[in-house]
Amino acid sequence: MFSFLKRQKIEAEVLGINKRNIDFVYAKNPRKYFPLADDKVLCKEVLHQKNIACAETYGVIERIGDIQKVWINVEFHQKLAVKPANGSGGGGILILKKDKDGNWLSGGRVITEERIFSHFARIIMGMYSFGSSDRVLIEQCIEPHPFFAEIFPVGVPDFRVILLENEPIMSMLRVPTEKSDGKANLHQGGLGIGIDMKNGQLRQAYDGKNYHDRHPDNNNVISGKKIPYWETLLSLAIETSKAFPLDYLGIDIVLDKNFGPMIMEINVRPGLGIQLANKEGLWSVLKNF
Amino acid sequence: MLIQKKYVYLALILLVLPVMIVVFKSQFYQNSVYDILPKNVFKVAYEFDMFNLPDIASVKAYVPETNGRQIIRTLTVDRDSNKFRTIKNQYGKQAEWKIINQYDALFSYEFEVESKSISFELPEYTPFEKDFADSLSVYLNPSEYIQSKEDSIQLLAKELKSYNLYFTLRRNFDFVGAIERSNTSVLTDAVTTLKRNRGSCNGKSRLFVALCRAQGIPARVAGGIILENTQKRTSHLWAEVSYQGHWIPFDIINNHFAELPAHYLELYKGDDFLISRTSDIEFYYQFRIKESFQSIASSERKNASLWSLIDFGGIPIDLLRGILLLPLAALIVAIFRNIIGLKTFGIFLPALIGLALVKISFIWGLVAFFAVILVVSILHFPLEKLGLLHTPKLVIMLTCVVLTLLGLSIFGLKNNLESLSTAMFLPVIVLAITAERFAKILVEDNFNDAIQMLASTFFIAFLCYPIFSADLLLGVFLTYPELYFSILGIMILLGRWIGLRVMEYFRFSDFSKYKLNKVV
Repeated sequence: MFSFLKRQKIEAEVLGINKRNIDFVYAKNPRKYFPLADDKVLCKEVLHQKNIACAETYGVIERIGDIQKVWINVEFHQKLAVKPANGSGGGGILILKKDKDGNWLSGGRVITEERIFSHFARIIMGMYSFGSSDRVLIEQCIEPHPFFAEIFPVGVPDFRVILLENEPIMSMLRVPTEKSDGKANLHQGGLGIGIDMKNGQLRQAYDGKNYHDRHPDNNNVISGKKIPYWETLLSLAIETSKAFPLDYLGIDIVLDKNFGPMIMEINVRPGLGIQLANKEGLWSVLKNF
Repeated sequence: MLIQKKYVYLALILLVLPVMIVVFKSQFYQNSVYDILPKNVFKVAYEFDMFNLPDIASVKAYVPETNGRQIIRTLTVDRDSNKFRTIKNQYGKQAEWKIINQYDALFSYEFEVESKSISFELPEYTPFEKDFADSLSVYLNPSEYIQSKEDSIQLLAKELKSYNLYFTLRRNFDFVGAIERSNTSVLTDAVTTLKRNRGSCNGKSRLFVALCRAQGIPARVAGGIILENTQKRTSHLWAEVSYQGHWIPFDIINNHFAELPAHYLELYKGDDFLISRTSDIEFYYQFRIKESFQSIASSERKNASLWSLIDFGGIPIDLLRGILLLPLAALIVAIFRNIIGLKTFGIFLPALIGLALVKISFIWGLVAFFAVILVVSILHFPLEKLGLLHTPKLVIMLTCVVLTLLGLSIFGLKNNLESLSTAMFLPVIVLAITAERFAKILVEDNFNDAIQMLASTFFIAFLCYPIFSADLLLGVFLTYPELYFSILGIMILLGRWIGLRVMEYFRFSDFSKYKLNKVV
């Protein structure tokens, strides 16, 4: 199937799941701190405490009976992001915006308060966290930096930086496509764009099969594009990594139009697809660490 | 180094030590493969109940002996206050109780039988034998109920006799077999059976033996019990023909030509009564027979194995099969997940599906599996539109899955597919869980991923299937439970193995190629 040389090359460069779990995820991250990363509410508590830039938390709903109480405190905002604390893959996220008349809009359509509440209830009852009950996180809505619109104008792209012991190892930018329905995850059809970390420049975009220099949907240039706030973004990642007792992390960062880089979430089991996006193996970097 | 040394040592100890113990044990006990295979074993109890006894009463009953076909272990003999002994006569071994100065008595004789079927190759050209040993002369002459010198028998025997042994026996067999069957257990002799053209097992066997003797073929009747899970009073009689020093069995009434099935217990050879007793007493007896599953190695060395689970507790073998072999099946799943890199629904689900397939047979398991997946796929989209909560949605799916399986069960009943209609309990649960996982992947990822995971789940289930259906593996783990530690050893190796999974070579082969070409 593979020539010996090719096998050797893959083995010398690529980090596989087994090694990632044993030598990095389990070795570097004490299991008792996993919830700090897995639960968005706990994660944000740490971030707020250390004054690290992230979306402002407007409210957290723990019980269905609290929906009204929390809602009264948050409904004056013009824009809201609603997330399940333990959701995965972007499921259950609701973005709410007010129109001129004060109606809530979701995906360009008016949504009644009743529907919003039933969405909260569904999150609490565990619809997006597979059975176990969950909490609703209501936070400031990120407004993507115009840099992203130059690539693809829909959805919220984010950066993923992998750090080992507070040192950035590899990073990529995840961008939605028409196929991915606004989501930026690689296995949901998004693009993974490798990053030249020294210069803060985008490399080629990987769609799960092929590499592209331009966005496949709109032909906008990707390769070679300079990333704004790159240095700030990296130091934010390092600062975040230091704030958590976790030493092998994937940190997701968004670029807000007004506030610049902000932490979105952190991940104790960062995926291995980043190697494909960068055409570079994580092991070839980590083994010399 | 893909695994650290300390783990390798620990794993090797866990892996090798049990294997060494097993080798040692099997040498020490001289267990053969046959010994550890689970086998059907019958426990038989003769139960006697009597009253109105004279000063001295006696009861005699033939008891079985171990021979090349059956292994007998005597378990308990009630002998208190009775004089008990065993006697050998020309027919076999008898147990005898003498009851002295008692009005009534109650006793039993219990033994265990492990037997196999036997069948003789008797080619069509098998010739007659001549010049028999003196010891066989008794089997050529008439006896009280086998009147081979009677005219009616002689005439028929001449008519049926063919040019060689095979065809003569075949014609005798077919002739007696065609006689109308009667279910009476009353003693019927050869002549009466012929005259009435009606016969039970004993009448037909005697007629067959009488015909053989009249044709100059040494033959006798043999007595025993057909073993089945029941309590009964009927014994059984069949015929045996001597050929080249072997006694070849023929059971006319059940159409066994030159063969004896495994569940026939041999008790005595010759025309005698299984039980004989003092007359004019109130006497009641029965044979209580219970089928169980075990190996011969076990009952002699119960402490050395898990066989006692079956012997004492009576845990059904099918339940035990699922439990005992689950770790081994899970090991297969672990290897495929962590070394090959296949994604499956859950970790133990492929193993459980394999077990479910054993319970409902492979083909119908496949049908049920795909029916369930089809139902879930069809339900998925409308349920998603309704926006139902996770748990209620699953209950709806489960209900539909159960209805589907019930439909299949009814189909099975109507078409006499026993395996499909019974033992649906585990499969229902397993398939329902599969349905849930499938639905979850449909939501979380996409249809292609769900189908791929379904395919690999089923592929591994397919590999687990023979594990659950192999009697030898069951016997090995029942006899040598220390082998479970070897599974632990293998899992420690696997748990610390940091090599690339096979699928990862494929996944990352692309970028390796691109990197070589320096596209950037």
